[in-house]
Amino acid sequence: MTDTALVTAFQNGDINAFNTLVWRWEKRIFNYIYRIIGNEETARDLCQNFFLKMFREIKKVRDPEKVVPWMYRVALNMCRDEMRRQKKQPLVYLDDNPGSDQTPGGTIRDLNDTSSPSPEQLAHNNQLVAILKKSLMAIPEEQREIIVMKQYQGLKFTEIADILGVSVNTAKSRLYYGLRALRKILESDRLDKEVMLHEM
Amino acid sequence: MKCKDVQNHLIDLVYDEADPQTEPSVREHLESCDHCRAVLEEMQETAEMLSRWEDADAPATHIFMHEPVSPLRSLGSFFSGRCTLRKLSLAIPALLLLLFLGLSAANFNARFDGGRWHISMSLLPGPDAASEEALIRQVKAVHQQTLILVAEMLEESREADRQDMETALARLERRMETQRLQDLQMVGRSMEGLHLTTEGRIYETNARLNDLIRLTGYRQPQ
Repeated sequence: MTDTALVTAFQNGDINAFNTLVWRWEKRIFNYIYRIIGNEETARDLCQNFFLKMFREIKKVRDPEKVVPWMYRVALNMCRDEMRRQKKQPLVYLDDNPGSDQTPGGTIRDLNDTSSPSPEQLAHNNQLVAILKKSLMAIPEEQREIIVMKQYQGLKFTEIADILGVSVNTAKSRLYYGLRALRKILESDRLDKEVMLHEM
Repeated sequence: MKCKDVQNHLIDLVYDEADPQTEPSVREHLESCDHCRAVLEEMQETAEMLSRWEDADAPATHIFMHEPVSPLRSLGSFFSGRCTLRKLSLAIPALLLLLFLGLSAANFNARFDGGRWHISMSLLPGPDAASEEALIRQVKAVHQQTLILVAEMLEESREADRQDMETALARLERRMETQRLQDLQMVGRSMEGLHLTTEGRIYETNARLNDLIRLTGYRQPQ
């Protein structure tokens, strides 16, 4: 059953159709929010609020065919509101993965250190995720949004442009500069990509 | 194709969304441009690195169920939330409607009289049956007083008009008398002037006739 059919069914009163939608989209939306916000705890709360909002407001979606961009737009707006709120009232987050980035100042110098206390693959993965998360959070918000949509959600440029309300060329341009900015940040953190990719 | 033009096409290549029409020219540019080739490789590596961050599991599966909501509870949730313009736009007409219905219900009156039902409903409280006759008498008395008052006012108005008219006539009479006297004086002065002028001319004519007689030596026959 397609998302469109599920939305139509829910709009006609079938609650199970909505549960199927949640089951189908929960992981994607959570990871979408998580990568934009950069904090798992907040992402969890926002994800929950997102589905509550979706439950209340999805009946307003006149064209069920466009429910997917609508969902991304709603989630994105929630992320933006949260980030705006955080700028006014900054919160200090505890690290999601304690021990994943023990280097002072947030650098990743210990990544290639063979005497690292966590040499296992899992620990290495955690370190990589921490580095990527930190780097993503360091680039401008609008570039990060597009990287998440393209890289992790696999959306087409036309879909991204529709969600953000910009032209396809603007979306591509933001992604271009976003990737380049990310690259610079990773390099400035002295990330040895060869070793990293080799170790992966 | 210039490096600046290739920029967005590099992104297409990184994500395998290249346009078949432009891809050959982009590839051609890449073969001849070290800079763009290096940028493409860097972006591909960055994208590859990003892909290492795998999706995390969702924290919990939310399950939504139909839960019958009592009217009181939904009303409570309506008022407990934030005060929005939408809520106000709903609440104000609803309160006005309730007030209207409440007042109307409080002043509802139905009676069977003369084989017919008389039903009345108004916002203001209506008179009860006992005080209705007294009210009618009061209304009649007020009506009578009003008629007398109107008649008195009419009489006063007529008297005032009559006095005004008399005053105006007297004033007109005085003005006409004054005007008549002025006219008579003017006629008298004119007549006097005419008399003097005529007399002067006669005297002058006599003088001229005497001169003529003297010159001609005319003597009146004896």
